[in-house]
Amino acid sequence: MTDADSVLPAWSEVFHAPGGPGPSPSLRLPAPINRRWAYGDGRGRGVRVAVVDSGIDADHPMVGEVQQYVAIERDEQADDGVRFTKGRHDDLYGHGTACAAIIRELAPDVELISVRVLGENLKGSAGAFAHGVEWCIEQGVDVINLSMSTASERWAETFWDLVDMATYRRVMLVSAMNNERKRTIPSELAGVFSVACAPGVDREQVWCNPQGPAEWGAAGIDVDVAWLGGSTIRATGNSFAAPVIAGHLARIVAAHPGINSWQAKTVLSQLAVNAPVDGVDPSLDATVGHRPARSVPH
Amino acid sequence: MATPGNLAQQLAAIADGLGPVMAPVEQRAQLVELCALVRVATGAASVSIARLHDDELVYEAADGSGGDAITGIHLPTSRGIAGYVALTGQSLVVDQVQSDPRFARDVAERTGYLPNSLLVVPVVDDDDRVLGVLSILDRTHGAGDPLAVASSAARVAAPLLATGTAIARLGPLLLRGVADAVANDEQKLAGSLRRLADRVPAPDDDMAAMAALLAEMRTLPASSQQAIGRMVREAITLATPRRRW
Repeated sequence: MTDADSVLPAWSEVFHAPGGPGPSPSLRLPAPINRRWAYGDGRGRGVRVAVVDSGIDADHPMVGEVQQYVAIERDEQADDGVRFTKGRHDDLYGHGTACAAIIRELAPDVELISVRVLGENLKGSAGAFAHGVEWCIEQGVDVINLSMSTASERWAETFWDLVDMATYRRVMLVSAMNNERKRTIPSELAGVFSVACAPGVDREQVWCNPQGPAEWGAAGIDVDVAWLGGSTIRATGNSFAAPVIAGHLARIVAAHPGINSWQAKTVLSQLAVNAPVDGVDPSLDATVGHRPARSVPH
Repeated sequence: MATPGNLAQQLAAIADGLGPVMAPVEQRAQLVELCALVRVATGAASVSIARLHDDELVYEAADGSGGDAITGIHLPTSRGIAGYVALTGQSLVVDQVQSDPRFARDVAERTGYLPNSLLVVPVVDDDDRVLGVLSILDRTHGAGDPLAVASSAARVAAPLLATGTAIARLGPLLLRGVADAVANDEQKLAGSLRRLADRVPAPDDDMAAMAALLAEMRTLPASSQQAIGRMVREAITLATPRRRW
């Protein structure tokens, strides 16, 4: 024993605040977790979901209102070489509208934010969508849907930082795995909800692969999605499975404000169709949160 | 009367115009063969490969229905499914494309062939930069998973497109260097190429700078050239990032 004062290593202050160890985890797990508890009314009310993509067409009947827009554009005069232009914009390709409509279908009362990272003066570079993700985190959105990834190692460090930042600020970053068998970021980082295509076209079903790197599975093969000009097309891709997970997360965040991403992963895993038999039977409350496609609030 | 400056300007103008036609013929033939192979493997109606050039996709090779019509056409990357793939580097598989009215009109007008389904994968270099796209139209039951076949073919197409692009850029660049040397009455090309490197946009600036270095190096004794080569190889090894994820 010595008489020397105890030292408090850096980062430890939070557990030593007067009156207790600071904020407590806001999740109280019932046993077993069921859909009614996890999703509440399943409408995602008040949850802010950003779609980082090609823009969103708010006139599409499957999308409904878009509450906020920002377009990231190249600007040589700006510090970071980009500027953020607010105000309504179009979807240039249809892809962002497809993602937004899927989220709206699953969680009709969410606030949608269109973060456009493609444009005539942008090459759609990893840098542009990194700026998009950073903007979302700084704005404190609840869920980010990112259906793009890069295999370029130049961006690895940037995305590690962004994913950590998102995790600690309780921002759920959903990222589609690449459609081709190559390693990409941020989709393969452990802090994101990485998504690939599961069997079937039922968007109420979620699959969990705890071994990763494709941690979550959802409908994305031969699925009907919203597209340009009010149309729908049938498409395949992990990028159409990612917004399914974003929609389910929006429900969970609405029912459990303040939940963080690893807590949400625990909840979502218990709702997975491949969850252990002695865990949750998803059929018990299968109607909660389930509604026909295209029931869009006007 | 023709002056050196005047001639140099003419040479520079020719160099700019020559860019797209300086790619070797064999390379284009190989791309066509690759399209044919993919078409058989996927039972598709048509397969094409386009090069990304500035803000356009330039269709360089195709095999199958509408193939002749699409070869040589330029499509802006600011729209369309292939444009999305070219800009994002993410592949896309779309069926019932005709329900997208804008897509249907664009394609039908240009090629006379309107597909029902489209599978587009990016052709990328080692650093995931998009060089072009490979499109499969109306695939049927082929010999393998069409996305895997397309990805594999895209990996084969990548060095062909990269080489073609490099040659198409290098030729005009060197001609412009010559034009500059003539205009300034210079005896050595290295100085002109260095000046060019400051004027032209990326990635041509790197190429001009490398050409200038090479031009300078060529004037040194063989032993010095070998020593520089060894140092550069060491530097590349040191600079190559180790895979961390």
